[in-house]
Order: sequence, then C-alpha cells, then structure tokens
Amino acid sequence: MKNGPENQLAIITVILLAVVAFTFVSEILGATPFSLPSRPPLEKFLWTYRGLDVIIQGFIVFAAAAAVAALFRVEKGLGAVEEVAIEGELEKEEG
Amino acid sequence: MEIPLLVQPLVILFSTAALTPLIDIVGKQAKAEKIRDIFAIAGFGAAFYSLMSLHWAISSTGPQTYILGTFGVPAGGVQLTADLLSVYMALIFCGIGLLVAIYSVRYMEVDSGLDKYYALLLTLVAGMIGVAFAGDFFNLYVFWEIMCISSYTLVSFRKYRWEPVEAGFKYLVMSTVGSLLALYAISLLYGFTGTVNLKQLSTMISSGQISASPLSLYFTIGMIITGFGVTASMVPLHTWLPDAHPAAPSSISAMLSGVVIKTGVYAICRSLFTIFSPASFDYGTVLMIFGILTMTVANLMALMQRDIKRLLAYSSIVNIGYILTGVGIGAYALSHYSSLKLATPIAIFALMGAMFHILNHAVGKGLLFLCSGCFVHEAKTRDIPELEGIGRKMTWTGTSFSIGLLALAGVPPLSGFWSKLFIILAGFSLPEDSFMKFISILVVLNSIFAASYYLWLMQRIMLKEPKPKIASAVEAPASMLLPIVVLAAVTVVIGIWPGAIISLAESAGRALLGG
Amino acid sequence: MVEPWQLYAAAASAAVIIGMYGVASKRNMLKTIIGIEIITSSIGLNFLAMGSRGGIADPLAQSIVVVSMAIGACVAAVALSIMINVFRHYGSLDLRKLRRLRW
Repeated sequence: MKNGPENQLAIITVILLAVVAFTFVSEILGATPFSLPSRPPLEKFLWTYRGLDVIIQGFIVFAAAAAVAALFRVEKGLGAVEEVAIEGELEKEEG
Repeated sequence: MEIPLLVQPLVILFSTAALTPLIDIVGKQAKAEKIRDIFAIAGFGAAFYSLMSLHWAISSTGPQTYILGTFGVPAGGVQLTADLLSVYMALIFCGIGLLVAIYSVRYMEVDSGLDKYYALLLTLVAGMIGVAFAGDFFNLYVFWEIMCISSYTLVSFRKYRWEPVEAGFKYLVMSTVGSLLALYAISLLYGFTGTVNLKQLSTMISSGQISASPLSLYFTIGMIITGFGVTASMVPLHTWLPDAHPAAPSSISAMLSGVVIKTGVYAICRSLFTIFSPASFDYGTVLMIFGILTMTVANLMALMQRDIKRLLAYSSIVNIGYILTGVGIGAYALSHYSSLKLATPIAIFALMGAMFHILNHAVGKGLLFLCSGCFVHEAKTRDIPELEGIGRKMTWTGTSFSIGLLALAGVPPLSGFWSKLFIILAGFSLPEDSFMKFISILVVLNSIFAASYYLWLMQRIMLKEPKPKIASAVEAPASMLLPIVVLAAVTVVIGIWPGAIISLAESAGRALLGG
Repeated sequence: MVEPWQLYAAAASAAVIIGMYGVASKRNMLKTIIGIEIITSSIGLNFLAMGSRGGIADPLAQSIVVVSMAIGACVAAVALSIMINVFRHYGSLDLRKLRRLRW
C-alpha cells in the first residue's frame, strides 16, 4: 500500500466517521462511556425504526460499490484486456 | 453479544462478504492468494451449519420470529419469520452456494477482481436467504434488491467480452422493471391496509374490513405475479434468461439457474398464499395457464439451440413451468373445491411436488451447468456439434453430466421422477374436474418432449466419437470435480431413498398453507 | 369530492406509466435508465400519497421511501457502469445495436 496523501486522508476520514458512529450508536446499545449533554432521543428512532431495512440497505450500498469496482477494474496493467483464454471465440457460431 | 439463531446465517454471510476484500489484501501481501477463497468457503460452511441447527430448532419448537429494536409489529417494525418452508429454501440456497464457491476456486483463477466476485457471491446468497426469511413485504423487497444487484454484476463479470455486457444490460433493465412492479403492488397493499407486514396484511384482507374492491385486489395479485415472474422467468417475461445464463461464468450460471430463479417462484408463493387466502381468491388458474405456456414455449425453443448452455437455459425455463403448474394445481384445488374435505390434502400434495421439484432442479441444473463449465473450459467452445464425444474423454464429468440429464428427464431410479410424478398425480386426483386433467396431460406430454432432447444431448456428449479438435481434453481438476460428484451423488441418493426429502417437502408445503 | 391523496396517487400511477413508456421505447440506453429512475420515484410518491390518508403523516411510508430511494440509486449506479462497458464494446449508446444475441 503506497503511503501518499490520499491514503492518510482516507485513514483520518475513516477514524472520524468511526468516532461519530460510535457516539450515535452507543446511546442505543446502552453503553455511554462519557456523559454527553442530554439530547432528545431522536437517534433511537432513526436507527431502530425499520432498523433492519436500514442495515440491509447499508449492505446494498456495499454490494453496489463492489459491483462498480468489479465493472471498472483494470486487469494486468493500465488498460490491458485479459487474454481470452477462458471460453474461446464466439463469432462464428451465431447461426 | 448473543446473536439469535434466526439471524446467524445472515450475519455470518454479510460479515464474510464485507471482510473478503480485506482478506484479499492480506493474502496478496503474504503471496498466498487462495486465502480469500478458503475464507469465502468457510463463510458458506458456517452459514450452512447454522441453517441446519436452525432447521432442527424450528422442527422442534415451531416457527421463529425476530424483531430488531423496540418498535413492534403494530407500530410498523420489521419482522423476520422463519418457518419450515423458509429454512428448506434457505438450505437449498446455501448448499448450492457452498458447492459453487468450491468450484470457483479453480474455475475462476485466471480472472481478476476475484475478491469482488466472492463478496458478490456471498451477498447474493445472503440476499436469497433474507428473501426466504422475510416476514415483512418491504423487507422482502430490500433483500430481493440486494440479490438482484449482486446477480446483475456477476452476469457481467467478464466485462472484457461483448456478450456478458449485452446480456447483463438486458437482464438488468427487465429485472429492475419487474422488481419495481412488485414494489408498486406493495405500495397499493400499503394503501389499502396501512401495513406491510405479511401476517397483518393477511388478517386485514381476509376479514374484509378494508375499503378495496375485489378488482383492485386482483390487480395487485396480477402485479405481484408479473413483477416476481420476471425473475422467475415465466414465459412472456423470460427473454432475458437465454441470453444471461450462457453469458455468465459457468459457476454463476449454476447459481442463476439453480437458485435465483427459484427465489422468484418462492416470492410469488409466499406473498400470494400468505396475504390472499387461496380459498377466497382464485389465482391457481392463472398460475397453471402460465405454467403450461412456459413449459411448451421453452420446450419448443430448446430444440433449436446449438449452444449447450443456451439449451440448458431453456430447459431451466421448462422446469420453472413444472413448478408453477404444481403451485397452480394446489391453489386451484383450494379455491374451487374449498368445501371438499379432500381439497387441502390435494393442495399439500401438489405443493409438496413443487417444493421437491425445486430441490431436484436446483441440484440437477447446478450439476449440469458445472459439468458444462468443465467441458467449455477444456474445449474452449460452447457449440454442441464441436463438443460431441467430450464425455468420453472426461469420464467423471461426462458420467455426472449423464446422471444429471437422466434425473431431469424423469428416469425412475433418479430424483426427478418423484417430483414430476407428484405434480402429475396431484393434477389427476380430482377426476370430475376436466381442466385439471387437461393440464396434467399437458404436463405429461411436455415431460416426454423434454426427455427427448435431454437424451439426444446425452447421446451427443457421451456416445459419439470425439472430434480431433477436442482430442486433447483432460479431466477437470479435483476441486472442480468435487462439487460435481457431490451433486450427482445427492441426485442418486434422493432418487433411491426419497423418504426424508419427501417429508421435508411436505412439511414445507404444509407451512406455506398453514402460515 | 376528490381528496388530495387521490390526486397524488393518480399522478403517481400516470408517472409510472410514463416511466415504463420510457423504458420500453427509447433508443438511447441512458434514457432507459432514466425511465427506471422515473418509475422508482413515482412509486415513492405513491407510497407517500397512501401514507397521507390519515390526518397525520405516516412514518412508515416515509421510512420506506427513504430506503427505496437509496436502493434506486444503487441500481442506477450498477446500470450506468454496465452501460459504460457496453459503450466501450459497441462504440455507441444505441439500444438497437445490441442485437447480436438473438436465437
């Protein structure tokens, strides 16, 4: 993994997102390690009403990201096409 | 944190899918790339074991439900429900997924982007198990969409050739419009009753307290059958299938033909039988007519094919026709003869035949597509005249291919015979109803017709002399042979001792009607 | 007396039909994908119209619409990726060029 500015920015963003998520979710799970000022219990509603749908929708976003990454992947160097070593030519059999 | 048994398979599969790209990076650093394949297979194995223990738990204590969070069902919360039908379907999905993952280790090794392949395969099976476990109609739609997105991408996985991308685009457009039609039906049902939970919808519609005319309810039934029927490849809506199944990599063709199209049939059955009680709504006639149409059109088209995978794709459509006809016979018996005491046993018998045929076709068609993947991998062509006789060079693969063809043709000591027999007997069980007898006679004729081209294919692949072009074909490697031999052995064992599977299928059919 | 929710539901049904016309009869692949998105949004409108029938807006309809919009976005992302791959092979976005798979 190359150490460029993009990687460091990505790592910082992921850490920040993890802290935000932990702050919101910890109140639902009942474990509050540090006392925050009291807020209206909105997060409990947002995260638990139809919570299963929201969680599975999160996995849909993951599957869509994997799909787009798979459909735009570059094989063996910039722009090279994988050798057609797998299923042979089809042009002559469209009869 | 204790994860309830009902959500364990989903949690295992989803977390394995999310972790597979990380394991791939670790494997590439350590120069041992097969770690991600072993990890994915371990995920499938753990999910299969968890489903077996869930099946044991449900058979002893009854259907299980699960609600996440504090909002219960009356307030609109999401409920997962597992009864014997759900766990029967989930076991089929996970079993075929496990065998396809073992097959993909050697079959896909020249492709790139394999971490995304295994992640998408895991989300595909997780989505299908979620559809089987959904107790809430919109939750079913969400799981359905994760299954569909994974399957569109896996069809177009080899994107450097024109055929998978063209087939993938066609499949995506048709299947998305179908799913959206089903979502429109969900919105209409929500408008009539104010809820999307399957059990609540059933109580509210059967009690007649809602302000909806029967015409609008039948319109909703039509939208559900059409919407889920696109993925289940019923005949006017089947045109994506003969393009998508040959274009996908063979392991994914086995998944698509074996289990993804069955999810469409399951969604039709579950939503219709649960929400609209079969005694008061007549959808059996429609399902039977579309089943016969599906069988006949696909049988005629299958004869004209020169491409081995396209022929197997058309035969998948034929088998979906058998399953839909079986389900239709059950619904017809319950709606037209609801006063007869014999109607419920006949319906359970027909549904048992249909559920058993789902298992037989999943095993058999998975076997056929995996074998044809081995053939095509060695011969580099999908043309049947050029593949003649390759079964003599690749003996294990050829023998298993023949066992699969004989099983799907309905030859007696193998498994396909029993399920077709049950569907036909259920159609003949009410002698005074000539429509059901006519439908059963058409099922028998289509079955004989399908057997003809299966045996023709077997003769060409196994009994002819190999051409010089494929004379250098060698047997497939052991890890590709293992799933093939396992599936062939399952076919033979179920054919000789069908008792255990018959009781499983019967309890699944009973759960569909009683739930 | 026509109530407001009936007008919204009728408009949503009309928009679904317009979306299906777009999917079925447009030559450009991008217009097909836009048609799919029109259908998704109008089904969301249908949900909200049905949800507004009591005096209070129903949170169930709103949650369903939010999740459905996210799913529609993911489907559009995958569809556009496949469309770009088709363009790389065929050189144009004309749907009539995709006719090599026939019988």
